Amino acid sequence: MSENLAVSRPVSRWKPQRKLSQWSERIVYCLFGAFALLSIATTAGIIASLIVEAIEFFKVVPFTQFLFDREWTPLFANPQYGVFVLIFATLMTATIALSVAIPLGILSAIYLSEYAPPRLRRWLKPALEILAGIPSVVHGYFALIFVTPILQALIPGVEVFNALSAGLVMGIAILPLVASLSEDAIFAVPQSLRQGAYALGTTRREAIQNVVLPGALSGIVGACILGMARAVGETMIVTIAAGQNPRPINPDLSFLDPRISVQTMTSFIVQVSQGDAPVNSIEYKTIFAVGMTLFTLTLLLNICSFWFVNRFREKYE
Amino acid sequence: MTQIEPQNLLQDRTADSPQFQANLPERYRADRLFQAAALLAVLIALAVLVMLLGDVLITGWPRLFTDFPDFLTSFPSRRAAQAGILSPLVGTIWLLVLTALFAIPTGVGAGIFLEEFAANTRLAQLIEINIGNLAAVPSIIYGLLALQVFVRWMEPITGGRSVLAGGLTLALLVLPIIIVATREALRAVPSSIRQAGFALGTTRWQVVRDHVLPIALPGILTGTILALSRAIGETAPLITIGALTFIAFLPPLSPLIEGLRSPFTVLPIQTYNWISRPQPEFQNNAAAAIIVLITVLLLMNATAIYLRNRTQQIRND
Amino acid sequence: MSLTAPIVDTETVLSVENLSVYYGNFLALKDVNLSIPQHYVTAFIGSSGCGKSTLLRCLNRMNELIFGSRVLGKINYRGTDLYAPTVDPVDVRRQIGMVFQKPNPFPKSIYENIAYPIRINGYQGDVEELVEQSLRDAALWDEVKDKLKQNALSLSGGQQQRLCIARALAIEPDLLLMDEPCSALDPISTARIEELIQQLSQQYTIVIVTHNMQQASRVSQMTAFFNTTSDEAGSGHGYLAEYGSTEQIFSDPAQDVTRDYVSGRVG
Repeated sequence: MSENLAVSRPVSRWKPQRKLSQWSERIVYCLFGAFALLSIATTAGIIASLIVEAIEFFKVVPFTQFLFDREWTPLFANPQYGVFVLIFATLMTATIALSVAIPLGILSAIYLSEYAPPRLRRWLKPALEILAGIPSVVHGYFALIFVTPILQALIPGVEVFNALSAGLVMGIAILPLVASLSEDAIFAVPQSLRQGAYALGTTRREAIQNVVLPGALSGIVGACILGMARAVGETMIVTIAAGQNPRPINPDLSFLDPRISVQTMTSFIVQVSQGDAPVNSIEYKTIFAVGMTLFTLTLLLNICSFWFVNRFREKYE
Repeated sequence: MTQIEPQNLLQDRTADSPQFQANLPERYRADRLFQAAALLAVLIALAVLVMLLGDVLITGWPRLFTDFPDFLTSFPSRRAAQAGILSPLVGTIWLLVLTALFAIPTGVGAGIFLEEFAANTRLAQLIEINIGNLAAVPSIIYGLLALQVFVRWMEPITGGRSVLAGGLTLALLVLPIIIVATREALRAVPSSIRQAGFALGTTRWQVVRDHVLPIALPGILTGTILALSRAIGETAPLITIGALTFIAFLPPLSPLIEGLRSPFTVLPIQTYNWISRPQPEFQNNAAAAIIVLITVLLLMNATAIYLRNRTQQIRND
Repeated sequence: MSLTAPIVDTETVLSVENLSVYYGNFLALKDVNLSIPQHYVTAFIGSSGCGKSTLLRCLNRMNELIFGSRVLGKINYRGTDLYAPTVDPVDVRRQIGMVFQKPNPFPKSIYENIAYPIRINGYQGDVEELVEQSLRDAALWDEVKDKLKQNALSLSGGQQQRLCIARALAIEPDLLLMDEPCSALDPISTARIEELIQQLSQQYTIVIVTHNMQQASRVSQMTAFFNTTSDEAGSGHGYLAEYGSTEQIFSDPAQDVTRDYVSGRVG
């Protein structure tokens, strides 16, 4: 195969540098292959570094205590490690965020793909992308300085740091993600199906609700689950606007009050990181145990989304 | 009942089939409601964007421009009126350059490998799933990985909580985005171009380098700029690797290794620090810093969107 | 010159008067006049780009969904101007059904594909009965009666197309438009659909666009031949060259272009 065919020609006016190009081919292949493997190494690195420290943590704190303690006070003299305090707070802010992001995101996607005239669409899409590109620290500022005072004026009992404001603004922050992924799914529904519906005497809304949305359902649900993963892992908005107040799990469910300050998994990690915890201290190990929990949760959500999209995707030819 | 003609049209047929009662007026009312809801969703998203930008501008503008350009050329200070963003601004530029240096060659290389050299192989599929997962991993988890690997294990090289560690962290964070953008840009290049190249007796790498990459370049560039703008807005992973908030010096450019190993701060972290202060003067500083941050991001985003629209137009012609 | 329809002893369902269609500034079809007789199969033939599909799409206002299309002239449907501002396209399409070039079943169950238009149009009778009737009418019932809950996309191409026909029949259209319904199918499926069209013509009025002249001669009673002007290079527009009974068009066409086309010398 590597015979130099040009040599067998009678007049050798062709002198391609086959050796050189073969070598560069091989080098490029190996180098770029190594770069590609870097992404696998990242995943492996994340899992390894989380597990190594989490194991250290569980040598000190029994796993049952981590799961069943009612309070989260790792920085106190008499520490308790009930991680569900943080998980509930995380799920609460994420739920508030999703109740904003899912309806608004899907409706925006429908407007953009089905109703907006092309010229308007050319302005709306970049505007949504700008909204998507705003750093979360700015959203946090907006929640604390702008939204919270409004909420305090409207609802009695809203604290300066509260889960509601953080959740609402987080919803706006993940809206563009839900909208653009849903729009991709809606766009993938073939035009022939819309025409089929119109030819049967449906109105535009009926075509959208009964044909387009069901056709795009798997993608839209996938988008919502990814939005959930993003909300669970969001850090700066909750750190800035929801405060650092781990609420003990009480039977009266007062820890689910969105008007008061809470502490999510991510804002706990920030709190400890800022305090410059010495390596090998129990605080240092705690953030890896919490990180491990957070990673597992987002991974599960991601697998859900992946499974859902593949399981229910319609294959149009 | 005001629509006379449609009724007539229907009546022609009612003699044949009395069993269909299409009830169009009611269905149209639902249509209008639905369209209005979809439009409203988009308007809410845009209104929030306008309020956010408006609030930041009103609060931050006076601080930014009263002693212009003092705010840009002063170090952070305990006194709000004298504090500036020199060190965070320079830190952001350092990280931007380092992230680009690390992430662009590796990301584009990995993208080329997956799309051109190993397309449809088992390895490529595995990496694709893996990249999908990485995209959903919260950025703070990358921070924990970096804390363990770049700050602790690689301390002899990186010098611990340094500019270099920060650049590596952000590069790892945006690597999946650049890989995906590269692959999409390469996929859009028609395969006839590759076949034309191969038919002339060139190696795969020569075809990619000379024919495919030039066509895909604008697409790759767009994705890369968007990825980098994501990187400079990030706060959480840099907090976990211990970026400081009070830096009164700049990393030296020579010797370079000294600069790479200096401690650092960046705009989002300085902003976060000011937001967490109770005094309103610091809030104004935060808003002014956000104006600078968002201006940089908007410029980058606008470039990316412009590049993309231009290539789309060329393709449509 | 038989540019207008020959007198037929049946009611006219739809008549087209001086119809021209533009896409942006491009004139796709110019000055068409013809009328569609009830309970006949009318075939539109002609080479690609002559505007026959465009005309078909005008007949139930589907062309409005194409961005930038404009219609001049008049289409009379049983005494109503289809393009009058008060006429609702949704209502038009409910009366004038359409089957497309490529089968486009909804990604739902076979049953749902038929039941959907029935429900959405407010049918007052027994839905299940009408679904079965429609599937029988489309000669599909025996093949699918045991798997009504299955996804429609699991059917073969020919079955999918018959399902689309059943779906169109379900709402009892006055007129059925078919846009090259067999062009994506194999010969056996094509034969079955042609047979079906012949059966349906006893009950329905059908307009079919086809590239296949044998098909036109087999299934239709009336044929309209469309041609393209070729005076200027590339910018020609489509027009109706000749319209008459299928027998006359194929055996004794009045125009040379028609003769050339049907005898296979062109196209």
